Amino acid sequence: MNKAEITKLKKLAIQVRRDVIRMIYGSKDGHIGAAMSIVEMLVVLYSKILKIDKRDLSNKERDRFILSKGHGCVSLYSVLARRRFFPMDELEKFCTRNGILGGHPDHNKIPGVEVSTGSLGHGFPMGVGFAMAAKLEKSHRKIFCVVGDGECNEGSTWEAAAIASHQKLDNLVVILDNNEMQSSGSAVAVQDPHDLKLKWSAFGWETLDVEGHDINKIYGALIKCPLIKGKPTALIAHTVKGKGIPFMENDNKWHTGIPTEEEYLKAMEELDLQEKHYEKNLC
Amino acid sequence: MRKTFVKTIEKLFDEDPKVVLFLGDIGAFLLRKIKDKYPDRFFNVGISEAAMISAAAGMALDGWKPFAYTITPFITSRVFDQIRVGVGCHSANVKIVGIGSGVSYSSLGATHHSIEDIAIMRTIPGMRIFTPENAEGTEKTLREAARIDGPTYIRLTLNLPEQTENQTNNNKFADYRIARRGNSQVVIISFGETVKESLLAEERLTKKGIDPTVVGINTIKPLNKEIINIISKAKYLFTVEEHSVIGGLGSVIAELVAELPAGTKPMLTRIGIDDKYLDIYGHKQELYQYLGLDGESIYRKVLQKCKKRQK
Repeated sequence: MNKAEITKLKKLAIQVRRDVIRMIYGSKDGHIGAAMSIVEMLVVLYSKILKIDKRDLSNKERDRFILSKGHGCVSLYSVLARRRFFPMDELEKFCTRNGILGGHPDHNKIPGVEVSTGSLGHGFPMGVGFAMAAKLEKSHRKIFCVVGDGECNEGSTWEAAAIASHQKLDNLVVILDNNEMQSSGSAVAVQDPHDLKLKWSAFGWETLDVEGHDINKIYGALIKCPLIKGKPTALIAHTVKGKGIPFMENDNKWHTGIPTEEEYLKAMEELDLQEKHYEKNLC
Repeated sequence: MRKTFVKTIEKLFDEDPKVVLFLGDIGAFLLRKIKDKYPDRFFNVGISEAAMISAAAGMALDGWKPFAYTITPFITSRVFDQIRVGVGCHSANVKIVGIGSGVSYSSLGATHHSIEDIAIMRTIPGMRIFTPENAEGTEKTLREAARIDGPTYIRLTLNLPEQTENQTNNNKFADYRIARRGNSQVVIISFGETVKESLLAEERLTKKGIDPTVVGINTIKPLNKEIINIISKAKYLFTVEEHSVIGGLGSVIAELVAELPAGTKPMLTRIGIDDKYLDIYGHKQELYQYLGLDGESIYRKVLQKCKKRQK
């Protein structure tokens, strides 16, 4: 990607973060921290990687995306709306009776959501089924799953990882949102995950470390997938929970915290400053 | 039923290129012909039942017809959340096949028994539950499952000598059958292998002047509406099941009886496995005797209830 493209996506990421703050402040519901750590990967996926025609969502050859850590969905909703999968005004109806967007993504309601997630350890294993189907159909479509490091506590994640490598699913890419935090504290303190890269490798996956908030590096890693023919890929994305709003970063209060008016204004001001910075650099 | 499952699934593979099979490291030897003939559609995913159900759901969403097969408690209670989320919430066309249901794995102990599966599976919205009685019923059921779209649970049992009697004298699947049409005021409703035991009881009861009607249920959910007519005509109603009395057929029928108009409610007796895990070993027939599910025990229970009421 050239510099202008990168800056455009960085600005899109800021806009997504604004949407996240606005939606959660407005609805008084949702998971800010988990949504913020996956913004860049979603922006890159939906802008540069996924081959999905939003006017033809039943096309069998479309790539599949699964947000297995469904509680991070608020940033996914923003990206889908900004990519015109559904009208922007749905964002204003987040978690309301008349809206299609709930606290976890529902595939029955939301165009572009392949699988209902929220209960951890379910989405990625279903993605393994998508990848098996694609192989059986000799299709070139790919399946991308964003999995949380906290979600790696779930045994079903590892059952699915073992099946995927045994079935040689090189059409399957996991992006591990390795923000090193989970609901009740740091991942190490809650249930030490040990070396996740080593664990995915031990399960027969090809792995690669990626700076999870560096748009160009995420893009560079994703276009290389599969890293090796015959093996599924796990990108270990090093991220920060609450990324983009300094007072929210790495503070688990923001796992389910709702900003006050003052915090809301402060967060928006911070995002304005970041946007100005990118505009200045572009000029 | 296991042999019939193998035979029928082989035929379904031949007939329908969308059928795929997931195994939880069970039955691979018996099913080796399918593996040899259709290696691409045969997935033995090892002892990974949770991911097996989710992956099957994913494949179903892409238009495939997965049958997922292993020992009943491992494919029902163990993976209930995968069934709820992956299969139920997505209305996924997955055929969950549990082998060795009830106390079929008699001497392997309570870990391998399934006396709660119907109770939990029937709480999944949209889940169909099939309970064939015998080999013939198993083939018809599997064919019906392959024909319909949506979440399906097929409860297969093992061990008692397989019955060869025709259920319906035709090849058509039926939700239930009147196994013996007798007095409409005394009705025994059962499913699976206890239908045969109920028929043994019926023979002796008829000699005693109680001529019960025996109904065999093939589809526990959704229950055919005609069953309401049958139970509303009964005075003495019995359910017989190789399942806990909590949440199974007895509960299904009790829920219907509770909603009948006052004055038309039959006296219901639920015969099944009491609220406890089995604490003895033995062959299935011995376990039936111990649990009161054999023909003799059913006969005594029905006789006692009918006589008591008449006094």
